[in-house]
Amino acid sequence: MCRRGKVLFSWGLAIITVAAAPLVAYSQYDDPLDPFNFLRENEGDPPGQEDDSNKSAQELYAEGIGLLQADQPLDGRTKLLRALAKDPSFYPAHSQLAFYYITQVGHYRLALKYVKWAQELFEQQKGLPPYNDRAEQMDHAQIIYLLSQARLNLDDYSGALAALDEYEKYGYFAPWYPGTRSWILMKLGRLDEAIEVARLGVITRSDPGRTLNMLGILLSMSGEPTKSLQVFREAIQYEVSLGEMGQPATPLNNSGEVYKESFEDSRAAESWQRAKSLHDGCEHVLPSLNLALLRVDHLDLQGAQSSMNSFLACFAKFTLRNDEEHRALVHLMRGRVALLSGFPTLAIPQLQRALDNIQWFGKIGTSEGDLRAGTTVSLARAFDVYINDLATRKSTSWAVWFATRRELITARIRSWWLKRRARQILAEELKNFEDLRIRHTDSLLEYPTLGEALTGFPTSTLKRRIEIEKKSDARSAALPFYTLYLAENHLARGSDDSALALINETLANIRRQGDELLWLHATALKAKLLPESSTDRDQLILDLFAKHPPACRIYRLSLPVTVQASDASLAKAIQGTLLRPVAAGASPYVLGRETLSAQEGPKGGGKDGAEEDTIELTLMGPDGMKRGTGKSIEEAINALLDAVFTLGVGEEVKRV
Amino acid sequence: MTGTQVFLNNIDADLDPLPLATSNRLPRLTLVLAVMSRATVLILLLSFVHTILTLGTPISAIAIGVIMAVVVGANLSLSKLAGRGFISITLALAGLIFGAIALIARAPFPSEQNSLFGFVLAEHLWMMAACSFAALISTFAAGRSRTYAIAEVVGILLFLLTTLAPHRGFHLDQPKFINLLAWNWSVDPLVALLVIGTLIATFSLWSLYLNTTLVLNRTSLRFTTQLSTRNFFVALGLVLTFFGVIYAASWQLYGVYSQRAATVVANGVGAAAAEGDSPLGFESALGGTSQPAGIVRLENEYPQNPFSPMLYLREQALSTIDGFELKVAAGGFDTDVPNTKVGQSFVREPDKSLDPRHQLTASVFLVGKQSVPFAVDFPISITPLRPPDRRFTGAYRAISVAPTYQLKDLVGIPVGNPEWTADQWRHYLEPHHDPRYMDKAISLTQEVPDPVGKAGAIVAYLSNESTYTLTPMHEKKPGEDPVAPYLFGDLRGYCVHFAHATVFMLRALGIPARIGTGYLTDMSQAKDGHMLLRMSDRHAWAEVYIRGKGWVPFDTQPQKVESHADTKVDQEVLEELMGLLGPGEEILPETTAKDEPGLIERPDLSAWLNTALVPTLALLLLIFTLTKGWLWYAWYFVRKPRQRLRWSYLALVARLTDLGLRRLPGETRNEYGHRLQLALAGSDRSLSLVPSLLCTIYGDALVVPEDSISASRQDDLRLLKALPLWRRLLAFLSPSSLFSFLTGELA
Repeated sequence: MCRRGKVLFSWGLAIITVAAAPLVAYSQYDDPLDPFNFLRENEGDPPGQEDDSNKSAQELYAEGIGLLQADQPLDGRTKLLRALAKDPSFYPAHSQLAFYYITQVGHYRLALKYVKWAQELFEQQKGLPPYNDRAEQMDHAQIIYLLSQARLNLDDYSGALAALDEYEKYGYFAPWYPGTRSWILMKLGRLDEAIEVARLGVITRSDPGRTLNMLGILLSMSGEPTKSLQVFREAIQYEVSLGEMGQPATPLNNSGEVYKESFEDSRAAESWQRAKSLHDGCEHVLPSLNLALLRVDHLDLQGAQSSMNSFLACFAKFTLRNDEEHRALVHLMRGRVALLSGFPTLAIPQLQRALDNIQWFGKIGTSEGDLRAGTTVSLARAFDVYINDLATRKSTSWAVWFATRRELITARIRSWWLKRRARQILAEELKNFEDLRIRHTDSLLEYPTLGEALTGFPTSTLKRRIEIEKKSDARSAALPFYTLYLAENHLARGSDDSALALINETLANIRRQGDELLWLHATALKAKLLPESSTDRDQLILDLFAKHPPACRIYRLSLPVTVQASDASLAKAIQGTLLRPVAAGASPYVLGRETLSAQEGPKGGGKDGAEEDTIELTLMGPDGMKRGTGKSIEEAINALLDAVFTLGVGEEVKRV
Repeated sequence: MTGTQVFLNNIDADLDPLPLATSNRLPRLTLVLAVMSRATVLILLLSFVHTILTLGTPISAIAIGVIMAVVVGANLSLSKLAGRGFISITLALAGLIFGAIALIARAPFPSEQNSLFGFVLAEHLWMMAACSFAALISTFAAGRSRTYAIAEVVGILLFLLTTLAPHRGFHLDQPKFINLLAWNWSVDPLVALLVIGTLIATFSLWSLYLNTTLVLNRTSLRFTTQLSTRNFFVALGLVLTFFGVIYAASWQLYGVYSQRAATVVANGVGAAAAEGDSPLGFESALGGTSQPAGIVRLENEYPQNPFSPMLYLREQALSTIDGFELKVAAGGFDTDVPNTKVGQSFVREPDKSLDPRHQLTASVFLVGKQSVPFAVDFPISITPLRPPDRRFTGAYRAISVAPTYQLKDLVGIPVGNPEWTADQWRHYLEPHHDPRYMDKAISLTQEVPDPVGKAGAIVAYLSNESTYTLTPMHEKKPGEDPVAPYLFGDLRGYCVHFAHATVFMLRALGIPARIGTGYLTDMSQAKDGHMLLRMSDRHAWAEVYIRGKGWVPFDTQPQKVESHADTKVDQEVLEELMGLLGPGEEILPETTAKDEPGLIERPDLSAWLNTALVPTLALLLLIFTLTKGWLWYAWYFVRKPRQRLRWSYLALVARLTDLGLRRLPGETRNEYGHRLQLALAGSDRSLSLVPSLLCTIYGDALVVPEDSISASRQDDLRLLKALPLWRRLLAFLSPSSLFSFLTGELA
């Protein structure tokens, strides 16, 4: 084409474009088949809406990154999506979205999709690796990193390791690498390799906080608590040195876990308290959860409850944060507190909700199986206590009696089934019952009472498993737990003598402070073994009741009481309940009855509208008086049982 | 008498019907079907139990044991083994097996890492053995006792009934697995429920039929006649028709009640209403279901949300008092609500009378039936979008000018809009005729001078004193005020009562008010700005017009809660839906996700149905037609006279069988031929083909002339002309001859 032709052509094109532009702009864009219609902001935008139509994908991408960094995630995400709408083959936007979904949202499937797409586009555009250009190398390394992270979070450990192998193969290195690799190796059970990698990371000062944390965890897992604590101390110092950017709560929490495993309860509690008080620990569930679990072992139910409540209060400040990760844990703790407070009916729905909401909650070593096992065992135990509660109540009518029988059957079946499932999870999902190690940091089992669930193991099998565990567990404080598990197993099989000997051994070796729940459990089992109405048994029950009133309901042990004025009908009425009449002077607890006239008692109308008299039962003891009132003696007894064998802390669960 | 006739008579004598006791033979196909259907029912039942309880053992392993047990049980039930003998053998076997399992559980495994391997194995074996023994015993019992067979089906139905019971009261999304199936099938939960219910009922009756016929067959040959292929298909047809009728009737029934159901299951806030109507229901609501209604994606930040973490999404406004309730006003009022439909575009200028606001863009992807778009506060633009996936029923992008005020700053600001006409003022201030509302309002607000403060005082009173219940059960006659029993009665109710009471009292005080309806969602349960809306998020709230701020929600949130529909958002569903949005999802080719365990999608049943079922059905139809044609006309292609004779006879009998004139059990060919001649032609002779055929079968190398075969065939086919043409044509569609051929009954 000649020069004049070119000029004419250019002018013609320009005129046509100028003439057509208003027409195009004026026309309503409404293509129902355009998949990216909703991302287009150029046409049909209302007045004032930001116009991204003239921006390139690169510009939108840069804006998106800026917004993400400026803590405006939704704006940033929208910009990145617009960048993709503009240029679907723009792999940095895919890669950045993958990063966003991994780090900010936790939607790993979506992240994996974006990163796979980014990888494919990258290889289409740049060819297959290796790459010589520095920028290409960096992009490629970032994609592989994201791939490994997405796979890791989707529990595809082999895939994640394969990605890291590829990363290493091309000579890439980044500070996160040793920590992540050691984590994956740990998940694959290659502990020694993991420690080696983490140590190398520490030496090379690669992401020191994270790598030190990882090393500490690994050392703790390999049975080296002293070295582990030393590493955590370094990690804490490092994080503190970062000032507001640092996250010292994580190593503090981890060191608390190591202390707990070493049975140094006060130091563990101190670590968690400190972690909770820090800016990065208050809204994180782990320190509070660990503290609550420890306090339950100490039978400090109020403390356990307040630990979780303070966490929830702190978390509530973050109105837009999702509570799904810790939901199961909160329900689990509430359920356990309600159960140990003598409220099985409150505990069961809480534990059931925990079981329904189970998911990984972000703790490196803990799997869903750990949480499921802990919750299932507790729920089975809650049903056992529910059975005890139902079986020791007075039926107020035939209908209630029948309903109770039906409930008892259902609860027994459910308890049996849950224990069976729990054993299956422990033995199969949790790799040959790795959680048997007492106070295992990854476990959420209630160790003092775990023996109940283990009664289903054949004695020889359990004994052998415990012997294997004992070989690698030199902690003297752990031994009473193992002994008690065996005792309970013997007890379930009718070998009472062996069981009694083992329980006595447990009680002799138990720590006076720190193992309150274990003591309670062992003492209750011993009381069950002793002949009914024997003085020793009565004394044990009185001790248990004095220590923890709900123990009688939990273990179905009848409290010896003296009936005031030798009221024979009252003594007869309480038979079969958790109150057992004994001779005067044999018990410090005195049961009395009083009939209140309509004016004195609680208001209530009879069928004909007339006020009815109420019966009030009182139990006077060294700690004061408890009352139970009702229209009939059965109602009054049930009310008194609820008043005597529960703790107020459990009722808080009802209110939340 | 010719030699041939003597020969034939001898053959007839030999082939007389066998005594009943020795001819007690079950049709093999029936037996196979019975065993297969029983095993299928049991495995389905176990899978069902597995989804609820988690058996802990792979269902495939259990299924193998169950299939074997059903086969053995069915065979034993047909054997001469007495019941006592069976019980003894079973108990002994169970003792042996469970004893062996107990030993395995105790077995010491040398590796410390696998010291519990024996226990783990034993647990699985135990579960397999327990299920297999249950299947064995029940199959034996079902084969021997009709009472048991019936009781078993009734028991299974009762179990299913109990399990499906949460569906009662229009809780269409319950139980949860129905909801999941509906998701997978991309259908309404109601459809899934009806399909499953019909399948269960059909399958149960089918199983009952087969099991009881097995029992009866064993004891009486007479019943065998009722097991004919014709009867089998007639019965099946009847059953299918019966359930088709049930399905259609229930569909119709739900259709009639769908409007009521929509209101009742959505906290009393039904689907958008037309002008002069109301979507709200005062009858006791049954709570909202967790059935997803849609997903809202915020495209930009909204930190200034005055109601954070809650977000109000308005769908309609009710401002006309009609009797005792508020209804959708005619055009000219409530212009801030876009009166458009989903799928329609809508653009308007922002309201200049409002203070500066935040421009908020939200993309809405609808899952349920939603005809009217909803948006945050004052939408200025609604643009239809293409649903990104077939699961979405519609999508649109709404741009709103969202409020940024602080609630505490509203006190002291005048209410109403000075630009309103007198008509508009009258409209939004039109009071309830009952003076008690004014008395109540004055008593609650007499110490508060400011209108916004008064509104706050009323809401505070209702929030403190009311009890949230979905079943207020107010006693009122038709035509009576439904709000009065709540406000002047027990103060028990739900959002519909609260909103009406608030608006009536506010208007009585001269404060312009109306009701907003739509969704109220909790942003703290959102993920990446994505909020899952459920039917339980349907809501109605009172609104007051505040100068410069627009319509501001004044929502009663009672402290006392008796029953509530509040449930946590199902994060799995939210994530699943999120994964369907966005360009990265849409353009990712399947090959990219290949071999990536984290990206294995759940099987898409409906896609499979589309791609596999239709071709499969077409193939089956083709095979049927070809086989049938071959059965009727194969003689034409056969050249050898003996074979040609045989196939001619087969073709004739096949046509007769398809016409329902099959050979009865124990009937000889001659008797069959006589019966047919008598019935169709009135003559006493047999079929023309029969003598030659019998000679061929039982005689020595008898040569049959080709002409004779053709003539005989023609002669016999003439018989069929006694039947109407339509019947002869329809006979081709009947599969009876195929089944008879397969079971060897045709010859």
